Amino acid sequence: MTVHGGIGQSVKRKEDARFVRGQGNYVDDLKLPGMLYLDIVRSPYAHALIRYINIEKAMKVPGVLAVIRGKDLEAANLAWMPTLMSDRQMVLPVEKVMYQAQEVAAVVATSRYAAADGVAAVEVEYEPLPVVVDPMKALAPDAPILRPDKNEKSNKIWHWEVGDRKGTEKALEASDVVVKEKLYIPRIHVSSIETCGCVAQFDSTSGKLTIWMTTQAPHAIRTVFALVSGLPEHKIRVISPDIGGGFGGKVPVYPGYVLAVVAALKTGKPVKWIEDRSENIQADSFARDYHIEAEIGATKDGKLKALRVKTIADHGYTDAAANPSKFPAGLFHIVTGSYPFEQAFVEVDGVYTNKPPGGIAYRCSFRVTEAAFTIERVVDILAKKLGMDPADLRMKNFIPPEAFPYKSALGWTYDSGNYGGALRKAMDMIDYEGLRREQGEKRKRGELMGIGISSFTEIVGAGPSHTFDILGLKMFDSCEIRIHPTGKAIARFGTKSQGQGHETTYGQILAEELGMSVEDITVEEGDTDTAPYGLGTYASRSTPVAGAAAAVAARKIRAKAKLLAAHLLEVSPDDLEWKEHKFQVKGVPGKAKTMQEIAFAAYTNHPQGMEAGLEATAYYDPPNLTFPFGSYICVVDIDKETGEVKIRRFVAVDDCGTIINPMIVEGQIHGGLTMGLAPALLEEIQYDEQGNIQGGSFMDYLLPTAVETPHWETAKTTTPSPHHPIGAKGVGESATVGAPAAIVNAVVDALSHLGVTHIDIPITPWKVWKILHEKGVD
Amino acid sequence: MRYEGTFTVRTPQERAWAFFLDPKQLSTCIDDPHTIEVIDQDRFKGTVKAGVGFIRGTFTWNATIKDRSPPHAEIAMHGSGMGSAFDIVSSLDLTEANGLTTVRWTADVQMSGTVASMGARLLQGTIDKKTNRFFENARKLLESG
Amino acid sequence: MALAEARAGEEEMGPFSRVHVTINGKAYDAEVETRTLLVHFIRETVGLTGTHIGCDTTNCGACTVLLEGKPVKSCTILAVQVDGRSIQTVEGLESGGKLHPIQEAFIEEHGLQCGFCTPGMMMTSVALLEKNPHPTEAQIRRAISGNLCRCTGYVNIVKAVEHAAKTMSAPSGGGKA
Repeated sequence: MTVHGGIGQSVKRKEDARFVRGQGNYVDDLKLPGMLYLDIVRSPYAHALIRYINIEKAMKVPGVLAVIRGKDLEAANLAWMPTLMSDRQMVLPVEKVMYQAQEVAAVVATSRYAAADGVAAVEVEYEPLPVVVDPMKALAPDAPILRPDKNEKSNKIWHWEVGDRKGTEKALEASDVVVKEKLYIPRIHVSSIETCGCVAQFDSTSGKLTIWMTTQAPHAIRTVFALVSGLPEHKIRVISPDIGGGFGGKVPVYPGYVLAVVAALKTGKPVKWIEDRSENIQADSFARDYHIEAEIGATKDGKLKALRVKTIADHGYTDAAANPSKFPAGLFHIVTGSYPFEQAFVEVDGVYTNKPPGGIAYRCSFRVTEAAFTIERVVDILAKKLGMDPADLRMKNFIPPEAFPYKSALGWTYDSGNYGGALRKAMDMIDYEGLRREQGEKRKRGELMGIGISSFTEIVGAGPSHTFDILGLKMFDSCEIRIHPTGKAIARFGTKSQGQGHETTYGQILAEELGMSVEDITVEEGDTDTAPYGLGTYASRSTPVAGAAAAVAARKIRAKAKLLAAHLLEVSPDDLEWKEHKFQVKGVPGKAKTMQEIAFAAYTNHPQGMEAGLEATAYYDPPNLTFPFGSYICVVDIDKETGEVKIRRFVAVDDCGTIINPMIVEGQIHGGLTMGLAPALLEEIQYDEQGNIQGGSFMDYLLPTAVETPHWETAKTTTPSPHHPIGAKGVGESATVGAPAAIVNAVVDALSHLGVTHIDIPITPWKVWKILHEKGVD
Repeated sequence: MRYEGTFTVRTPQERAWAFFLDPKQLSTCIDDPHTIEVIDQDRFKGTVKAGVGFIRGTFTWNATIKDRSPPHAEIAMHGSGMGSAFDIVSSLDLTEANGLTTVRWTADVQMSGTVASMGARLLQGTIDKKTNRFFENARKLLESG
Repeated sequence: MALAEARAGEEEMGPFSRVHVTINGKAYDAEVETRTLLVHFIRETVGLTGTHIGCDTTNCGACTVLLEGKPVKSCTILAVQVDGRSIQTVEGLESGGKLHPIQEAFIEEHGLQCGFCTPGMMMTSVALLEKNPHPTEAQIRRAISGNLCRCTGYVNIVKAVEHAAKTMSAPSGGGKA
C-alpha cells in the first residue's frame, strides 16, 4: 500500500492555492492600523566623513513624524551591531560612510510617499575621503586603512588556509604538466523578485515586539535581536510569512530592519520598511567577488596529482557574509571537487574595500559555486593542454564509487557518489560523440560551436555540531509533530521556505513515515512563537537537516504508536511490524492498526501508565554534510559577427539521493540552472574609481528573461546518502553550482582552436567579439 | 575624471578674462534652468535643474574662485541634490595672438550617487554634450557685439 | 531621535484627484494624491495585494495588470490615467469559485515557486492567449520576456501556458474570466 503523497510522488503543491489567487501573505501585503512608513537617506559617496545632517526641512514635510540619525542610535548603543561573522557593521554612521548607498538617516512618515519626500528633504554635507574599490590596491602598503577599529595596519580581514602547503608544492614540482590560471568571479547580486522589508510593531502593554520580516532564519534573527537590543527573547516574535525568493539575500540583518524596530519602539506605532529595487541591488548583500589563482598538476597521461588555489576575497567594508564561524571562506575547500587529489592546498585572504558588505548571498552553498567553477575550469584547461578530451580526462580521474565514504585532502568526508554514472548518462542524453563529430566538421567551415562539461560535487546540509555554528548557534534543525484524535496532523519546522515547497515536501516525508495521506498533514514554518528552534533555510540545508528531523520525529511517534497498537490488538509490541504503512501482527496481515486508528486511541483508549497524546519533537544534529553531485553538458553556437553566445542545448544530470517530489526537484534544477546562466553570460556588479556602482538597477543589471533562458533538459541518477534517515541529500543550489563552468567551458571550447584558454565571466558578446576581432575571425 | 580642452575665440583676452571670471555672465551659457546668487566677489551659489536621461532634478551648488592671477584662474564648484553630488575643480589659462584668444581649460570632475550610478551609461555622453553646448554659447556671446 | 508633534490635517502633500476605476468588474471611487501610482492604488487604496512590486525601473513585470485586456505595468501608470477605465488583476481571474485555466495550469505544471512573479506572469499569459490561442514555445517566451522570474527558470511557466492554451481551445471551452 502506498500512501497518498509519499516520497517519490510528484504531488501538486499546497502553497499554490493561495499564490495563484494572489492571496500570498508577503511582508508588503501587511497593513496594520496606524501603520507608518520608513524610508532611508543613502550616501552618494563610497567613503566620506559626515559633516552634518540637517533635518529641519525634512521635519516640516507634511506627513513626516520623525527622523533617526546615527547619534540617536549611539545614545542607545545601537549605532553599530555585530555581523554574522563576528565583525561589526553600522546601523547608521556617526562619523563616516563606507560605501555608496549606505544608510545615513531614516525618515518615518504617515505614507510611503511622504517618507520619500522626507528623504529628499534631508540635507547631508559630506567630506569625501579617498576610495578603495580594488582589493589588490587595498592590500598595497600605501592604501588608506578602512577599518582602524579592526586592523590599524592593513585592510586584510583574515587569512585562512587548509591542506598541506609543502606537500602540494612538491607534488606540483614533480608533475609532468602544470596549468596555472587566474579566474576572476565578479560580484553579483541575487535580486529575488521580492525585495527585503519588515513591519515592526511594539505592544507597550505586554512589552512584546513583533516583526514580520523577509528572513530565511527567523529564530537566529530573534536571538540576535534579543542580544543586541536587550529586549528579553520571549518578548520578541519574528514572523517570516510568505517570502518571494531568498537565495541567501534574506539571511543578513540589514540596517533597515533595526531602524524599523527603533521607529516602532519610539513612535508606539507599527512601522513598515520596504526597500526599492535599486536600494536592494546597491546596498544589500552581494555574492562572489573572488580573485582566484589556481594551479593543477598532472602526469603527462592525465592523472591529476595536485591542486593549489590562492584567493583574494573582496568583502566590502565589513565581513558580513553569513558563513559558519570556523569557515570565513565558507566551504570553498570542496575545490578538489570530484577528483581524488592526493595533495591540495588552499589559502584565502579576506580584504576590506569601500563597497557594501556580504559575500555569499546568491544560492552558492557557502562559496561552493566559486569552488566548483574553479576546479571544473582548470580541469578543462588541463585537458586542452594535454590534448585530451575533457570527458575522458574526467572519467579517468573521478573518485570511484567504491571509494566512498571518501576523505579528501582538504578534510571533507564525501558520503556517496557515482560521478562516472552521471557523466555517462549526460553524454548519452546529448550524444556527446556525435556532437564532437559535428564540431569537427563545423570547425572546418569556420563555424564556432563548443561543448562544455561540468562534473561538480556539491557539499550541503550544514552541519555537524562539532564543526559548525553561526555566531555560536549550532546548526541543527528541528521538527515538531502533533497528531490529532481524528488522525490529522500539524508539523512545524525550524526552517523557512522561500519557494522551495516545504509545505508539500515535508508533508510527504511525514506521510511516508507515518502512513498518513499528505492531505492530512499541515506544515508550518516561520513563526518563532510556535516553531521549534532552527537555523533556517539556505545553503540547501533544509532536506538534509530538517528533513532528517522530520523522519526522526516521525519514528519517535511510531515507537509510541507501536505500543498503542499492541494495546489495541492485545498483543506484545514484539509481535508487531511496521509493514505497508501500518502496524501488522507478524504473519497475520488481517490484524493491523493504521495510524488513524492509533491516533484516536491515543486520546480515548491509551493504556494505563502511558501519557495521552501522540506527538514528538526532534532536533537533528547531522553526523556529516551531504554531497549531491551531477554532470552538466552545454552546447553553444557563437555568432561570429556579434559575439553572441547561444545555448543550443543544456543537459543536466543531477543526483541528490532520495527524491521526495520529482516535480519540485526538477523545478529547483531549472531555477538553479538559470541562476548559473546569469553570472556566466549576463550579470556583473562593477564600481568605478569613486566607488559609484555602475548601474544599480534592472536597467543595467540584466536578469535572464524567458528569451535568454534555454529549454533546460534534466535527468537524474540516485545515489542515496548513507547517513541520512531517508537517504536524501538536498538539491536547491546544485544547478547554480554546476552550471557556470559548463557554459564557460563550452564557450572556451568553441574558441580554443584560436588559442583561447579562458575568458572571465560574464562572457558578454562584447568580450567574445573583441577576441574574434583580435584573432582576425570576424 | 579629468577633462581638458582648448577654446579659441575671436575676442580680446581682456574681454574673455572678464567673461570667464564673471559667474553671472558665465551662467548665461548654461542651457539648464538655474539661479545664481553672488555672495562676494569670489563666492557664488545657486540652483540648477539638470540630470542624466530621466534622472533629473534640482541641484544646489556653490562655487569659489580660488585663484585669480591673470592669465591663470582656478575655480572650485560643489553641488548636491537627488542623492547625488558633484565636485568640479577647473583651471583656465588665457593667451592671445592675432586678435584670437585661446583658453586652455581643465576640469577634474567627481560625480557620486544616483546620477553617477544609475546614470552611468549616459553620463559620459551627457557631459560631452553639455561641455560642447557651453563653449558654443560662450563663443556666440563673445563674438557678437 | 527627532520626533515631531502630531500635526493635524497636514498628513498628505497635494494635489489630489478623484479616481473612478472598475477593477475586476467592481467600481471603485477614491480621492488620492495625483501622483499615486496605479499599483499603489490597487494594493493600498483598494486593498488588492495580489499585484506585486518587484523593481523601480519598469523592468520586472511583477506589477502587470490588464487594462481593458492589454497587459500594462501598473508601476509606471498613474491611477489618474485609468480614470473611467476598467482593469483586471489576478484576483479577477477566478470566476464563480472556479479557477481560470491559466491558474489551474500553473498549479498542474509547477509554474511557480515563491509565487511573487506569478500574478504578473499569469496576466501577461492571459493577454497572450487572447491574441494568440496557439502560441509556439518561442512566441510564449517572447511574450513573457517582460516578466522576470528568479525561481522557476521559465521551463514550467512555458509548459503552464501551453497547458492553458490546450484547455482553453478544447471543445468544452474552459472559458475565460
